[in-house]
Formats: sequence, structure tokens, C-alpha cells
Amino acid sequence: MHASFRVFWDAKIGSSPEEYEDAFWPEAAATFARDGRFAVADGATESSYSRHWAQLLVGAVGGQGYTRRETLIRHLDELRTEWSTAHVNPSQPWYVAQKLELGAFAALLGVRLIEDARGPRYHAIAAGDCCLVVVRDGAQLRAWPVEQSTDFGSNPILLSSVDPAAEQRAFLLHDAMPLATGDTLFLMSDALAAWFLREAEAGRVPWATVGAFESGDDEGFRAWVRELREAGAMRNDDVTVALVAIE
Amino acid sequence: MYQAQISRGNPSAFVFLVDQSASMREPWGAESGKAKADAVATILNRLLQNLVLRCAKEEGIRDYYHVAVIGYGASVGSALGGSLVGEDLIPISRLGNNPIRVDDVTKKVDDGAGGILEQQIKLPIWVDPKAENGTPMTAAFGYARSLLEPWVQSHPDSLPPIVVNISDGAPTDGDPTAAADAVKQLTTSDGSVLLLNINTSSAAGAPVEFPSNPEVLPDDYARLLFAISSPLPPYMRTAAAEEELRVDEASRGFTFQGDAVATIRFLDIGTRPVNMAAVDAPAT
Repeated sequence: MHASFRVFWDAKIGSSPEEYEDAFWPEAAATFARDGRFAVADGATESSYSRHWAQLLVGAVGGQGYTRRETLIRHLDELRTEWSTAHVNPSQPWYVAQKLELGAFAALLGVRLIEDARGPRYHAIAAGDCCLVVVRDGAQLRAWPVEQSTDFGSNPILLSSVDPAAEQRAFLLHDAMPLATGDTLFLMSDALAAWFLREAEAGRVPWATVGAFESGDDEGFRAWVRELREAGAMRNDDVTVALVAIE
Repeated sequence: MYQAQISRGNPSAFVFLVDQSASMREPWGAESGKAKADAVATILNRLLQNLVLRCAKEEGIRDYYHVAVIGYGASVGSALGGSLVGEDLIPISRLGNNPIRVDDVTKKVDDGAGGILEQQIKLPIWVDPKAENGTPMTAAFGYARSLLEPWVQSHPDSLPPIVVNISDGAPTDGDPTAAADAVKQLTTSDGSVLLLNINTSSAAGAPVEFPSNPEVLPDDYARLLFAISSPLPPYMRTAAAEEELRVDEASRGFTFQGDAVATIRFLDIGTRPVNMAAVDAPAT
């Protein structure tokens, strides 16, 4: 099993690229002969240092390969410590210090490809409202953990950088499914995922639209996202989609 | 309507009106031994603190809002102290960076194992308690309109501003209904200005949040404030329901002895995790 990966992203209107708070793994287009690891995370607008938290979370999946609940939970407390110590500064204004105490929050979706005697399959882990869609033979085979567009809200339960990992165990969901050559996996943060599921529910083929962007066509992707936002078809939020094609 | 997205390029506005009349020296019904003026100052400082925190990021405070804090009692005008004396509608970054002082307060918190922990927290103070003279609420609504009329003209596509009036509800300059209506008649392309009332009363009674029926309220003052409160627009009802507050289509932006922070908890400036706490400062 070979897998090729490409990713597109855009900061929300009104924010600079430096203020983009999603994160993804790997950092650029790549191909994998085995053990492909992919992740998308979405840092919450209302928390501070949420991009760093999102980056730590995608690193846990991509760098460490943690796509099981127990292993990620064990690692989460280390990430919390790393996040906290990075931002301690006694001369911070009161509001930065209080936001730090409230913690950063992020949704996480991680996918690991595995091939053994039973054939190729994925293991996925998720917390919050990033969404994995599997497309096979021109049809949507699976949407997970969010299954319908109406399930997206603006108050998801997300992974916290200050709450003990043990308290967050229930937020983490695990999924696994056999894969076939020709499958495409779409890993999306919520704004694009909500549009994607709505389109599919209306009988259209959003995977063809998103899948048409070639690696490197960042400008084309951003222009398309801008059109959707201006038409009111997509919420103005940071957007990320990672495509994993099974070859 | 009420769908404009708040951004730094398209901010919204808050005008807080604070009753500072002599009647605010009377005890507060919800917590005996505490004057209403103290309760109002605490509520207001908590509201401002939470509003600043909603806009605070690691690099500073993003100007999603312009904010005015207007006192009414001996006179009607800015209630801000320190370096903000006399200032009306200001960007929220200016507010957040210039409290009068930041108090260190000890708060008792549940340690999760049946015990109590003491936690040191910082409580920014913008307004100190004050209680003098009458209650010129009608004049205060007129003042709010004078601030917001030019503001909506210069921000024609903004999410409509919100006026939050914190009072025991006993005006001394006549029926404020017409002046309140004049505030609510200001509009942007996205809807009319909203008027929310927080009633800190001497009357005893269970807290009431966003009622749809004035019959549940204990006195005429509460019913007056209920009557001039805006119905909650759909975006607030949706968000309030997500906060597990019971609301319906007739719910008004009114709380009686309730959780005042609830009145701003559902403001939408982006993803807010349901498991992220509001800052719950102690009632000092």
C-alpha cells in the first residue's frame, strides 16, 4: 500500500496567515510506502496559544504515531506540561495570565495507515469536530466522528491543555476500517467539513471538487474557499483539508 | 438579521449603564449583608473582565468590541476610573490594558476530592461602588443613544450593539420606556440595538434568567425592566440553549438576581469550547 498526501489551508477572513490556528501533519505533500501518519487539529479561537496546542497534538499523532486512546492519554499530560512551560512569563498582563490558566483548546483528528496479513486499514483517533471522510468508488463510505452536517455547532468539546488527561479520556474516540486501493481519505477541520457533508447530503460530489486541487495549487484553493465564504456557503473560520490517496 | 460576524475590521459595541443612585446603598436581596452598589460593581467588573478575556489572545487584546461604561446617579457620564476617566466608547484593548487596579483575591475552590483549596486570582477593577442621589435612568438611555447613534452610522454593517443596564429598577426621572425605545430603534444593516437589563434588587426571590413572562417577577421595578428588555434574537437563544439555559421565542434579555455573566457568555466571536470555563471571580 502506498499513500500520497497533500494538504490545503487558509486563514479565516480578517486574520493574517500568522494567526491561522489549525495545524496539520505532515507539513508538506509526501508519499508513504508504509506507516503513513496524518493529522489535522483545530485550535479554538477563544483560547490563547491554541495554535501551539494544535501543533503539539498533531505531532503526537504524526511524530509519535499515537492513534490509540490509551497511548495518547498517557502522552497528553506530557504535552500539557510542554505547553504550559513554554508560555510562563511573570511579566504578562493580567489577561494573558488568566487566558493561560483557562488553557488552550483544540480538536484533533489523527489517522495511521497499517498493513498486515489482514490487509490495509486505518486507525483513527479524534476529539472534537474535525472530520474524516472516506471516499470509495465515487461515493462517501464513511464520515467520522461527525456523521451529519447538522451535528456541527460552535461549542464543541475539545482537548484542553490544562485539564488532566484522565478527565479527557471520554472525549477521545477511536475508529478503524479496512481500506482498498483507490480510496481517498479527507481529513478536515470543521468549517470545510460542514460544507462537505452538506454537499454530500444534497446528492452532490464535494470530494470531486476538493480532490481536483493539485498539490501546490494553494492560490486556487484559497480563491475557491473565498468564494464559498462570500456566498455564505462556508463559515468564516480557518480551513484545512488533508487528502490521503491510497495507491 | 443578527448574523454579522464580529471581527477586528467589523467590531460590535457594548454600552454598560450602571445605576449609582443612593438606593443602591440598600441591601442586595440575593446576598444579605451586601449593598446593591457593591453587587453592581462586582457584577460589572466581572462582565468587563470576561468580555476582555473573550477578546484576549497571546499577542494582546483584539478589538472585537468598543465599550462604554456609563454611570447614572449624581450625574450621567463615564463611570470609568484611573487613566480612563471621562472616556466613553473605547476599543476593548484600551479598556483591558487600563483597569484602575488589579486586586489579588483569594478564592476557595473545590479540590475535586471533597476538600477546599485556596487559589490566588487577579481581579481587575474598572469601577468602584458608588451610591449617590437619584436614578436618572431615562437620561442614561438618552446618553447611550447619543453614543450609539454616531457609532452605528460609522459601523453600518456591524452586529448590532448591546446596551446592558444594571439597576434596581427604580428610576426617578420619569418612565424610561420611550428613551429605552429610542435606543432600541437604532439599527445597523444587521438589526436593531439590543437592550438587556440586569436587575439587582432588594427584594428576595429566586434568580430568574431570560424569562418570557413578567408574572414570575416579584415587583413592579422588575416588571418595568422586563418590559423594556429586548426579546433575545435567535443567535442568542441558540447559544443560550447550548449553555443549557431555558429559553423560548418570547424570552427577554433580562435577569433578576441571576448569573450576570450568563448575559455575555453566549456572545459569538468564534469557536468556544463547551468545556472552557468562564472566569468566575469571587464576589468581593
